Amino acid sequence: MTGRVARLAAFGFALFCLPRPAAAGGGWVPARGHSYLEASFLHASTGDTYDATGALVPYRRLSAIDRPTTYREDALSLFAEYGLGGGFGAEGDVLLRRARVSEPATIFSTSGPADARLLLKRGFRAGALAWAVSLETRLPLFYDESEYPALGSGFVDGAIQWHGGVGSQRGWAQAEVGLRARGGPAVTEWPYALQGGANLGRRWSLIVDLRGNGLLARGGEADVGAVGSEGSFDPARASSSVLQLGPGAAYLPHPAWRLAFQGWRSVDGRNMPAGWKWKLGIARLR
Amino acid sequence: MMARMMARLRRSGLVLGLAGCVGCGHSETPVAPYDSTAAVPAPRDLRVEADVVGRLVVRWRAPAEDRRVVDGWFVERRVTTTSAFTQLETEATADTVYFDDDIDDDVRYVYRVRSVTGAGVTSLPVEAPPVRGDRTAPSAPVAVTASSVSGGVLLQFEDGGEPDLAFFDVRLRQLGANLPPEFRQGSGSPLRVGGLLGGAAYEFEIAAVDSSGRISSYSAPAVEAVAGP
Repeated sequence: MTGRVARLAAFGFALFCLPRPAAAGGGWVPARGHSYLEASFLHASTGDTYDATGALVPYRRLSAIDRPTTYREDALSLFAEYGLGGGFGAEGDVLLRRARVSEPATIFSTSGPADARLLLKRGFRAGALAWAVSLETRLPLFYDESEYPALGSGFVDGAIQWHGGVGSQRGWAQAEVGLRARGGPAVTEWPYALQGGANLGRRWSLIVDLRGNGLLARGGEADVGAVGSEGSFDPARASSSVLQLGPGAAYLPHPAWRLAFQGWRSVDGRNMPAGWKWKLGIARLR
Repeated sequence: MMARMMARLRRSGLVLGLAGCVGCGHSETPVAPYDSTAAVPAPRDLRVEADVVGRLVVRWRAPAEDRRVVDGWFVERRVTTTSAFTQLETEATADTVYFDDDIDDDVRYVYRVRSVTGAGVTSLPVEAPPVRGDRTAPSAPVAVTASSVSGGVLLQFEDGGEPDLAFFDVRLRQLGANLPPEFRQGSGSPLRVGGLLGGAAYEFEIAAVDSSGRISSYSAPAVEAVAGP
């Protein structure tokens, strides 16, 4: 048991200690040797979901049984971005997840490492616009996707994305759009994001973030992933779409540290739990 | 392919240290008070009946408030000569009906049903009275004769002697009239059919029905008689 704790701690420490500085995400690619490391906690809890038709309905594990149910998800996300030089950058994150479905008589819970995401990015500049293209893969980390609720789909995904951003002393705006081929029965998605930030002095920033993904097909194969083993609705295995929007705030207690608090409220979706999702993160810039 | 490879790695134990983290894993935990057998609602109004194709049909009832906590039901069975029950399916059924097709003729069975929650906590079992398997329909009556009696017709016949005969079904039709057939029931031979039109000619066929509701073919050929005045 102690050995497992030590391995986990060592992994987290190694991720956190990756060398050197940068600005993160979007169209920006860190300069060689610079990095952005972030650890964040994610939380979502809801009794509602968007069904396969997009209707907002009560969350039900078994669709035929009307039973009060809560879906809750907590995760620790470890994110790292690193400048490779020559306009290239690498990103990666790993999610330690706990998904929990609570019914009157039973709590179904699964926790552990979920998916790891790796991304290689090539950045460009066009005047004030920083833009980049990236290749991404998402790998399941040895969980059993037949355990309900699953930690992930259990399949490898691959994506190509375009990122762009502009920034100034007063704030920033960034966007991204792409195409993600899902493994297994889930259909190809097109992820997108728009984010705007306003700097309030040197330490505070306000953020508005819109993100989600659409699906390239509907019905038939697109809905296969909505049903896990035992005929249960399992969000992690669903072929889902979502549109979520929310505010955030960031604070820099020190130029090399950044605290961020963000929330997203889903406003549309399919095969996806509805409601708010919250994130509290701390980042180290080098 | 990648998923299969990773599943193999997982099974073989060649996994990252992360995969063995503290607190990781899967659980289905009962919630009080449903962590106790006594609190799990048992199936209601359990009954077992034979259907016309020879199966035994086990039915029970679960109102919405029971389904709020119950995920399914286990059906168990024993023959009356033994005391040990055998669970019929490894997975709980989500329906409140179970069709048992694996029964022997003329063997008496006892069924019991237990509710089970998603966490695997089962209720106390509910047991139904014994019921007899019946895979064979009775044989059709033979040597059927019909004779006029005052106010009707008297039918005489020989049945197959099955121990579970419940009643006999008579199909009659007035000859020369374009009318649909009528049906009458009786408990055995002789069987007096009344309420007929005096002086009118009728033809009669008889079928045997057993306690499971299984019916024989109708006797052939049809016998004829004139209804008495």
